[in-house]
Amino acid sequence: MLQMIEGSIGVAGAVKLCRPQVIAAYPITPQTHIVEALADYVANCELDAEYITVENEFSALSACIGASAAGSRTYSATTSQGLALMFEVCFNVAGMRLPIVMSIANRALGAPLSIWNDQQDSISLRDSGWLQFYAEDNQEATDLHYIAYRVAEESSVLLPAFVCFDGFILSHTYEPIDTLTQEDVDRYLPKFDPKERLDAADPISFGMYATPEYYHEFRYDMDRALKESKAVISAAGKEFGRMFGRDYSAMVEGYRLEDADTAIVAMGSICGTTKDAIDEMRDEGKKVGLLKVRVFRPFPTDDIAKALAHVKRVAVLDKNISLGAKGALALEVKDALYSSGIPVKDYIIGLGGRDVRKKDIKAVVELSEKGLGDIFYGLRKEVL
Amino acid sequence: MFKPVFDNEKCSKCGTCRTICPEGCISENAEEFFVPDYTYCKGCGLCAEECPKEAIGMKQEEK
Amino acid sequence: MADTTCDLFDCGHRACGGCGAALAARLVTQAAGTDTIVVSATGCMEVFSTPYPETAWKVPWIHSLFENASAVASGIDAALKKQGRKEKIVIMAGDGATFDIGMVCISGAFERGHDFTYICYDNEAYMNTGIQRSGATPYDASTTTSPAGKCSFGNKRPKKDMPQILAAHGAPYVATASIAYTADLMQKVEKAINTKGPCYIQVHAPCCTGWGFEGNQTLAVAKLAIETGLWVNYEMVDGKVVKVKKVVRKPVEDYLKTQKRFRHLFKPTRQDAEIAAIQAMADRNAEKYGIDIKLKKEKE
Repeated sequence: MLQMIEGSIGVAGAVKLCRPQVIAAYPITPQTHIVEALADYVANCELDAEYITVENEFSALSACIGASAAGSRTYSATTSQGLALMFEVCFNVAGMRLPIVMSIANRALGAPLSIWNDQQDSISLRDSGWLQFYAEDNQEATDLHYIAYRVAEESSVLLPAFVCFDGFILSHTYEPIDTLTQEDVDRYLPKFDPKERLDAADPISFGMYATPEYYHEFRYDMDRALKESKAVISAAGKEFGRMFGRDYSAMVEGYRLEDADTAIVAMGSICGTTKDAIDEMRDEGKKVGLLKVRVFRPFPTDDIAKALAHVKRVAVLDKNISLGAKGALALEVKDALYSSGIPVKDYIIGLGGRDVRKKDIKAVVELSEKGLGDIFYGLRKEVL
Repeated sequence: MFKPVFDNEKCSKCGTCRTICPEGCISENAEEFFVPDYTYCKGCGLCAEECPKEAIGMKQEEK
Repeated sequence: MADTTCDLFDCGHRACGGCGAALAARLVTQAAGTDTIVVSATGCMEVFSTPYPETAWKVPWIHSLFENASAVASGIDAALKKQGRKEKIVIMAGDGATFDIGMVCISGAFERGHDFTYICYDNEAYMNTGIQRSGATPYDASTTTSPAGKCSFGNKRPKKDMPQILAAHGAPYVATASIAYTADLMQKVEKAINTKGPCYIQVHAPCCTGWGFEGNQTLAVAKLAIETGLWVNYEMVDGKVVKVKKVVRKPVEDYLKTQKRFRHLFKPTRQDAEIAAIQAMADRNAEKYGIDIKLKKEKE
């Protein structure tokens, strides 16, 4: 059913239909509307879940660990400072192979304090073993939650997942969203029934310590599961397309890329603006295209290399920066294109919620055509 | 390394040794006397110390 | 499938010989029974009981991080409720995880009123990392981060009163116990497990390695702590003290002399003022909890 609703409500509605048994979340701008909506559903018996009003984000994810290990489907949501506070727990979740799904309403990290959007928060946890999905619009933000649970809980995966969508830009905007029914989701997402869980009938130990003789292999196993999840993502996305008409089998998506000279690579809502800018540049005769990256972890190295093999130059838009180096997306795209010889330039853009307009995308393409890049785009000299 | 030796003549079958062994390696046999599992005994001597009948002595382990 | 016909905390664990915490683990699991899920915090007990691929636990067990056992237990509580399951949740954490790094999680979990039993095995310092001081370290105890030296008598602060803090959170049942009195400890565990809501038992678990005494003296030292009034065994129901273990009190010296961590109070010179200060603490405990057995001739 097509509804004109706020992004956060789309997400909350999707989570509700996934039937989490335990929700543990702490409010933080701009995720608050999600957790408030979920509390409302529980209070009105629309969602049969235990809602734990934890005292901080660290405890939120920790409570999810307990609930998930005990065999319940769990959910949390956070952003920025909250995600940073969960840093230690994130590694613990992945290491214990618990398929927790968490919404990230992407927001910049302080200091200086910022409540506005960029992708530094989730990007900074790219080493953690969590799958990472990035939504271009609110339809994707909503749909990716169903897919995330299905992929995470697959027995060959059993890894947690972030569903990332730009804070305020997506979370607080109204778009038409095609929402599913409970029957739809029950058909798509099976009941969570882990083989191993905390159960007095069959006692096992979770979270032991591993000496150097064992630790290496645990990490290899996680890496392998994450890389092999690409096939699971593809299958889950294809099945979603078959059932509901929106295909998510591809981890990357080209837009007017087939004959492009210049390829822009980006993640999240900036892709929407970029597509509009590309249409205008195409009208002016420029052969520009977009490669949208929808799955950042596992990183779609081969898909990116294949999709960009024919272009003359690549401009990566990074709403994050690994300080002292480059943007994370650019670094990994460069890795994917290493043997191709295609020049890849990095444009740090939109940090801390700075608006990205069509003219900015066009300016980036011009810089790219001149071979200029690996810069912070659009620095305000008067501030410096 | 010292290991406990149990003198059943003195034993009153109170079970204190089994209760307080931090390893839990003392078990009751068919005659209700107590037997340590020397594979897991660390020779801490708590059983000898706490036995109300002083029925347990710590002897040097032979190689 | 674990063999649950014997002890629920199996032998073969890597604790020091004479370890008080290991004994506590055995007694608690025995009292709790098979229908229990144990949540451990990082610390001695967690480390000596679960070197992958071996585990001493014959009940379902989970360890997450140092500070979050209470939050993990909160999640398990919620999951069991939703799944309609009846297992009891027992948290086992040292004083480090309880008094210090875990304060936030504990406070939140107790405030929310989850149904679990929190057992703090109190060996009065961060033992697993090499005997550093915690909020539970007693006054004048020497630890590696509060060492006695030319210008220090050791730890400068008295023990944080965790039982009272948790009673103030509305915990329905709070108790202190000691491995010296095994039946009492087990009774308290049973009571806590069968009381709905967040219950807390602080178990005195002397550490031969960290306190400096022979492994066979663990229970003797534990008894002396109680007999000198430096540790009081009591129970609180809905915030009110209902039962206290009474003693014929011995001077604190009898306890302090047994442990290397207090040696500096006696050698090279006897520190009368410090010993008197510690005696005053014991006297205050005695007064507060009414632990002194009044001998007949005193009454007359």
